[in-house]
Amino acid sequence: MVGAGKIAASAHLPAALALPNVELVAIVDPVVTRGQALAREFGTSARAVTKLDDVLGELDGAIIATPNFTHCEVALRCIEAGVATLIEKPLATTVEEGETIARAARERGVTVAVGYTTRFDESVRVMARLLKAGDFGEIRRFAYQSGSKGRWAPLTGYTLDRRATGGGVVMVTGTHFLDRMLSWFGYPDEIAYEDDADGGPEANALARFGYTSRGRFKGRVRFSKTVSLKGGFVMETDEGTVVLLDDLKQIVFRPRSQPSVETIVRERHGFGHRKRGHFQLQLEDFVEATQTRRPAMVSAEQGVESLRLIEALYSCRQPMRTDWYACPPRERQTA
Amino acid sequence: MPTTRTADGLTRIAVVGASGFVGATLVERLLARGRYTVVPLIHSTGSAWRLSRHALDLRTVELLSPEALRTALRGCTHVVNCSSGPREVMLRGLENLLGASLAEGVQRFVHLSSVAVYGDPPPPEAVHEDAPTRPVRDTYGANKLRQDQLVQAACRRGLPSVILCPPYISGAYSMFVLRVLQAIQEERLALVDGGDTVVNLVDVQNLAQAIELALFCATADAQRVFVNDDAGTTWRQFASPLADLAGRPKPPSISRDEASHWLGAAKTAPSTLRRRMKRLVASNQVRTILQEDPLITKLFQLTKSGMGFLPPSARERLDGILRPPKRRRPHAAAHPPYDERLCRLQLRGLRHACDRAREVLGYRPEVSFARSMEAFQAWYRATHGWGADYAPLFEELLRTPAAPKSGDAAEM
Repeated sequence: MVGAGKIAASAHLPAALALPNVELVAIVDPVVTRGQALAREFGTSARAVTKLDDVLGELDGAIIATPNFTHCEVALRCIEAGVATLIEKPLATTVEEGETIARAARERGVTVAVGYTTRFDESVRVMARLLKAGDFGEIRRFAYQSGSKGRWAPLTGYTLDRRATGGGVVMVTGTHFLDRMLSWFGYPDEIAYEDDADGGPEANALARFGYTSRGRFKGRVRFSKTVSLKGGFVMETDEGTVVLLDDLKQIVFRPRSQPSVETIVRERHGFGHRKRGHFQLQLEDFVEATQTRRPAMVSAEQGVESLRLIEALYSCRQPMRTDWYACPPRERQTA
Repeated sequence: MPTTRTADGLTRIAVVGASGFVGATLVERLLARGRYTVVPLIHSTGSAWRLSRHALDLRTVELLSPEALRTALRGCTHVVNCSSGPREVMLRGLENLLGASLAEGVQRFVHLSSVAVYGDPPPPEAVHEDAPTRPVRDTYGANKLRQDQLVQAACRRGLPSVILCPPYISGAYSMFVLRVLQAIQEERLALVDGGDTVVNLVDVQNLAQAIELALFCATADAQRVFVNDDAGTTWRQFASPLADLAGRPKPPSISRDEASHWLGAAKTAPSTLRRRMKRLVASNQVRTILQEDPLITKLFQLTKSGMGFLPPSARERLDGILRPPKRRRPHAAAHPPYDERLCRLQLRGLRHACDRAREVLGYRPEVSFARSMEAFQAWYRATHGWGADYAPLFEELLRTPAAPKSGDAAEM
């Protein structure tokens, strides 16, 4: 376990300790007391160490849950040592870094998985299958929003530094939906984007997507770190409306022909998954992919694709309005 | 204009609680001035996104750590306290902050209090600052009053201080206006007497302006100063643009008597000394303290387990002693589906005057009520709205309830 921060404590360590075929060897963190505290808290005999190199030779795999800007360097050291890596999302802070990781993994034949955990959710997988089969009909447009007033605060507070995260709300939070969007619809043909960054990481972002090569539809997506929004995805098709809230519990389909009816869409025999959280399912997939040499559910290449989309958004950035008290044009003239 | 400067020629202002609604607005305002060094101090990085987008040097500080506070305030000439939090942070944290300010030779301390110190509802004399303060014990208002007393004590010890008392704060990012808007959206706002009563508001920009004035005003004797908008805005004027924004009809009107009746304000049974004592003895706080003693815990467990062997009448009697008495809420069943808090606010019928702010601070609100509402609407549309073309999709999302937490749908 590389990184003894909040996500390690709240998600990765419980997942690792719940799997019978995983032995937790070490917790690596530059602040050794953090690793020691976690080992104590979870009652594990894993050693707390400050240097990854001290334990690399003992590992089959590593979970990298460190600040974004360190992912590339840490991952490359693991890959170089032949250690499979599960890297917290995003894969890295830039496409260039991500491609370096993906290339190194290919060359060394090492499994790399990226921590887009929501892809392990049953509803997300069902949605992917039904979309692929065209079971919801022809897509006309979609919208997505998620917003919370902060809440998640990493121990090091690195999310306040754009260089450390590689961006703002899009990179930190929005990347989960963008990954799902890519897995459902593929890479968009048209993009437009605005955010409220003023030198630092953006807190609010609005993206517009257009798909022309795989159907003809548009989408609008909003992410916020300053307002609480009911999070979810909604899609309009010629057959009706599909809703998947951010709790990802169930897909709701409202047929156009029957406005008073709604259908819950779900996997008939998939309830076993609900007993295991996303992080546990993700780790199971990572372990199996490593042992059987199959690609992980979310591969390094897919992680690069997410970074490519985020970079494309940032590169066409337009400033979002933030001066709420500015005079409307008419009043400005008289002022 | 700043009257005090540091060696490097700049007034260095620490804003404590900088990531909050008022704190962030103040930091943005002071930075835009270009003549101050601003030191934004935050409690948690998680809620600092509004400020971090400006690439500021945000410092995390723990108010419960006197040493950390001294380090954070080093070199600061002025301190503004916009922090909030649980009781311990409000009181012990403020004591630490005042201690650090005194130790670091801070020249001006501006504290953000609240009209809540006058109680809920406030007495009719609370038109002016010198009215008696009567908050209910252990409430937010009581904590704010204790804070005022701490600041006044520090002022007597040599820390020039100003205490500002805002009412509800409006403008862009306002959670209060958002609450009223949501009540209108959900048809839970009723206007008492058609909304003719006064709503006490201050736009957040006006409050930030008052704070800036307080940093440099001549009188800093820690007397409370009300900071209001200038207009005597009524609830009808307040709710009307919000109803338009929500695309809902104007809220219904109820009479004052009707509102008082269903709120049960006039008919709450007086609390007897016996009931109070019972509530105290059986309260969670007292239970928690008692349960720290293993002997008492054992006794309590034995009593509870032995209750099963008692006859029903004795069991009922003992149970009545062990359980805290329930607070009765008269007419609860008859409550219309309105937001109680917003209804209570309308029954206050009181407008806090800001003559002292005019006199002491030279305060003249920069933002009119109309501009304040425009700012809120602009912010709301940008952060919550989807535009007319995507509005139907957004409606679909909003009207989808969350799935049940337990008990899978298949088992239903």
